[in-house]
Amino acid sequence: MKMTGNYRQGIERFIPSPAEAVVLATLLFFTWYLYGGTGNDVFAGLSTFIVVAIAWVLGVAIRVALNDMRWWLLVIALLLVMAPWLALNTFQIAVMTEVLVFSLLLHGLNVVTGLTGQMSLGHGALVGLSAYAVAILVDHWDWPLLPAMAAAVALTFAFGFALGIPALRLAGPYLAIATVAAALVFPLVLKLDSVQDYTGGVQGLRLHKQPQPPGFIGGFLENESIAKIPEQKKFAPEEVQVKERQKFAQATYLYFLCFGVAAIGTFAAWNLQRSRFGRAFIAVRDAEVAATSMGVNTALYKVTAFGISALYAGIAGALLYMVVAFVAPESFDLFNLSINPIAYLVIGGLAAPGGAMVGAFGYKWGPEVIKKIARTDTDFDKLQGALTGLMLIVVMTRMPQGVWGSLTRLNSFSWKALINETKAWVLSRTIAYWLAIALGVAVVIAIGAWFAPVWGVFAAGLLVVAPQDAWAGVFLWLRSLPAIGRRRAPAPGDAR
Amino acid sequence: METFFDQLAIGASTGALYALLALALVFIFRATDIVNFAQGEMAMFNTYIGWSISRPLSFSWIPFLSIERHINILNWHPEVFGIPLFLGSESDGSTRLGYLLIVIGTVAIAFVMGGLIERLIIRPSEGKNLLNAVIVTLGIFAIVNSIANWRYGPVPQNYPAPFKGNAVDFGLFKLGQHSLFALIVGVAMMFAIYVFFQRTKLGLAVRAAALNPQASELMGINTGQMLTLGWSLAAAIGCLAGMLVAPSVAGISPNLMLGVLLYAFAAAVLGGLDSALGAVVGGLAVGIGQTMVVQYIGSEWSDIVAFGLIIGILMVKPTGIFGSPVVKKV
Amino acid sequence: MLEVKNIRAAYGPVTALHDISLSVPEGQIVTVLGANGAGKSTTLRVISGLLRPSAGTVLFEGRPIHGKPADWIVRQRICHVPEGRQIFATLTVEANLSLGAYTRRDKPGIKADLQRVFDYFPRLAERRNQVAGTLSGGEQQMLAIGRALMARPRLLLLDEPSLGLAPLVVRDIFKIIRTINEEDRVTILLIEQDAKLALSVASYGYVLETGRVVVNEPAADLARNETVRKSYLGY
Ligand SMILES: Nc1ncnc2c1ncn2[C@@H]1O[C@H](COP(=O)(O)OP(=O)(O)OP(=O)(O)O)[C@@H](O)[C@H]1O
Ligand SMILES: [Mg+2]
Repeated sequence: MKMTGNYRQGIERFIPSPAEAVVLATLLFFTWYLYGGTGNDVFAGLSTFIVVAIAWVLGVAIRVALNDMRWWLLVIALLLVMAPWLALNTFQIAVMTEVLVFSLLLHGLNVVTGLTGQMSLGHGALVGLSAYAVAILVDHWDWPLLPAMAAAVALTFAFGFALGIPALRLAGPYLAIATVAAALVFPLVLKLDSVQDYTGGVQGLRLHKQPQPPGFIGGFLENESIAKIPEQKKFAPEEVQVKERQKFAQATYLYFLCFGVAAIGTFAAWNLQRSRFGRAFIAVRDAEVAATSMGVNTALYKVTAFGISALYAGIAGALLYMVVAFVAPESFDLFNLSINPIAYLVIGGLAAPGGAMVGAFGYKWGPEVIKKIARTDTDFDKLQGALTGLMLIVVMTRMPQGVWGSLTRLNSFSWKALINETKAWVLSRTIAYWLAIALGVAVVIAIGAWFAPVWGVFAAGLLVVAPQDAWAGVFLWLRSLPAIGRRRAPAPGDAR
Repeated sequence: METFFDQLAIGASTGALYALLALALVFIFRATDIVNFAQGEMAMFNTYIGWSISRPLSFSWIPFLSIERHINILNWHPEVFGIPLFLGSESDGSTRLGYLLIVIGTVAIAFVMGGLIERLIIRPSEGKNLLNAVIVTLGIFAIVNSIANWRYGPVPQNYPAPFKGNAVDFGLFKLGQHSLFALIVGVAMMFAIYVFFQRTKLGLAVRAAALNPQASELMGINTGQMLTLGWSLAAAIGCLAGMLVAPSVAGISPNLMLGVLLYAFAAAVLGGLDSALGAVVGGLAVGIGQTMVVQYIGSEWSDIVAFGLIIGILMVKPTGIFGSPVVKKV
Repeated sequence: MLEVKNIRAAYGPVTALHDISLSVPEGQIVTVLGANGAGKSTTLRVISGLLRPSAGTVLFEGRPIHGKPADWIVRQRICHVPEGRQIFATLTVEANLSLGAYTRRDKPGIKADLQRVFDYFPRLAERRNQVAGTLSGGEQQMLAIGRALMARPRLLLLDEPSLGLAPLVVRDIFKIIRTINEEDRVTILLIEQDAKLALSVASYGYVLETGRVVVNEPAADLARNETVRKSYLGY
């Protein structure tokens, strides 16, 4: 990821590029969000300032020194390591743990959908399969946790290979339908009377003994946890405080277990994509028939892709059960089974390990942020799906390379160019156009549709993140609206 | 034996509704190669719009336009073929739209919404990659589902139906009035669709635009408009199905069409995803099969059987009974 | 009737036409010759609106038509019979023909034209209810021409009507092309690989080479032109 182009020279190199600004703004928002809950504004403000300032200085310094944008990865890795200390309470650590777990699922889905171009809408069920396998082995047959997890991963892996075989016969939309059906049947089967003894029916299964941090690590983490004890419990009886400390130690321990696995998984995914295998997968996606006639064994690669991706999903499922200590059929509704994995993978960015990480982050934190907003309007909570869908559509139509892809491209883009571009566009509009827009905004505000501006600002934000051609795309799109749109006839030879 | 024929009739009636939604799926698939996962949700939302306009009219927030007052003062009772357009004053003095007006209004709104979705959302994502367009329909699904939950809440609401009386006895079997109505409307719609596509110039043009867009342009067909028309029609048909489904279940709720969409998918896959005839045959078969499974095996199996059917058919014969074979291109 | 002036056109990064100018006088048959990939089909695609030119103008009866959508151009009664026929394979012969008359509203006129097409091509009349994809190649070409005639064109753009046909069938088709031109007063712009045949019916000819017009002469002169004879007529 060497920087391309020489947009920034001289003093401009020390100003964050638009991409870096986006990263810093995100950081700012989340640090503020994390510390905002302490009720201590001075503390929150100061911490936020310090974190962002350090990231800025570190990031820009490394970039200027190395002329390389790999500093991001460094900063991100550093922040991830520090996450348990940055987090305010045990719950936030747990959410971060789930981010890591979910990133594994997205890496797996990426192999099938991003690289091989097969549309799978059923990966949530593979996670569920693995989680349930662990749960049943532990709960019903009293297996120890670790072998149970290994067995579950192996089972899911094998199942993934089996899934790949029908995928050989099915093209695009047919595969999507088949996988969605296979996924939706999963929670129904769990609830059947005949298997209730094993699956616990709607009640689900609970893990009674989560792994404990071994002695010295546990002691260290418990010591570290003192700052994490909530204000109101600081003066609670000793045993309550001890419990809080143990909870922190436990959560942090699980976090680092998952961190290790996710780090290996991400590294493997990154390597896979650059390997011979990865290129063969992409060949299958881009020109299946041509690849076949060139001697690529497409069937083998497709099945392998499914296997690898099921391996990832299986690991994610086993970890999920370990972390959450609970599975029930309700966790596997249509959204969790089918829509969210693919949606957040696409939003994060297909065919890039970074995209899977960004997607996982959005998947877990998006709802939390919405819940926070929803404190003033509880019904707002229900709009989570709408947020997901909106982001998905904006990304699909305006920036198909996803947030990650846009970020990496935006870095070779200077403020000056952005400003000039925007200025040129603004000037090219007539005054009547701006009056109409202003009128529209006024009407929206006047009729009290307060949520519309929120969405609008959000969508606009996404577009700011989008690269140059996405801007152009939006303008072209807006301009084409008044005309009765036409479809461009396909090029000769590809008539359906 | 009597229950068997009763179930057969009920199955045919639900099957007709599945067939309608499956037809909507098939239209869009034929025209654009897109599997519209949002079909059911679009229908659900439009059905909710029908529900909103079926409630007592109140335009008091618009000055000088209090419809209820006008209608009551003039004592105006317009009718079409003996069907009242407005239902007379209720005990609280309010006026409601009659069923006919509700249907016309809702279907018109659905028609416009379908076209808008195609123009504003589907078209910008078209052409790059079929995967994109299918994922976009999932996005529409998520948005519509969650807005319906947010706006209308999860509690099922009563839905107006024109006929609610006792079952009609046909000797061999009995069928509830609403089911009979749904069956008749469903069959009539299928006939209308058949006539539209087989006997009218516009219908022929829609088919041609789906078959070969470039050649259609050379015939003077605006293929873009045909696509929009296809989505509009699909939305309208789906909406009609939704309006018939809602009274026959507990009422309208945001999950109204999830199950129906599943069975419609089973129907479409069974008949062949690109075959209109297949959608009809598949819809009836799935509807009858579902009632039989519920009656003789157990209701918790009915969804599982439907999913199994989808997967099984796709594995054994992906083109279904009437579908045309898929050709892979270099 | 048709004036093409200094057209440039490209498929993405590939420029197919560099500078094409040609004119088609009313009531005549004009032919365009050239090697494979010279840009003949692309020229027709620009005229019929399937491809937007990046520069230049196309005037039809003095009015600009370049950049207009294809369906609008069809309504000016310019009909394009594309390379490779592009019939609607799963529709019947009759449905294909009635799609040809999509832009027309006059029922009796359409009926008369249908009869006329069947007179030209009796084989289509026999197979009117057959699915078009099952027709033989020659029949499909007849259908493609007949379909274009159903729009009652004033200018007909024919792209290689003899492609893949037996010599006897080719002769029939060319006889009909001449009839269409003479009796129905349809102006024709003809692309043809068989230069000799094309020059025998045309009154004027253009030769394209890699997106440029290299020769333009009356057909009779063109047939005698040394270079044309060598490279296209083969003697
Ligand atoms: N859809 C397309 N995309 C990219 N390039 C194209 C496309 N169609 C044609 N071309 C290129 O444009 C040039 C002109 O093509 P055109 O089809 O006009 O040739 P032609 O003279 O009709 O040849 P032929 O006699 O083989 O039909 C060729 O070099 C061809 O490769
Ligand atoms: Mg050609």
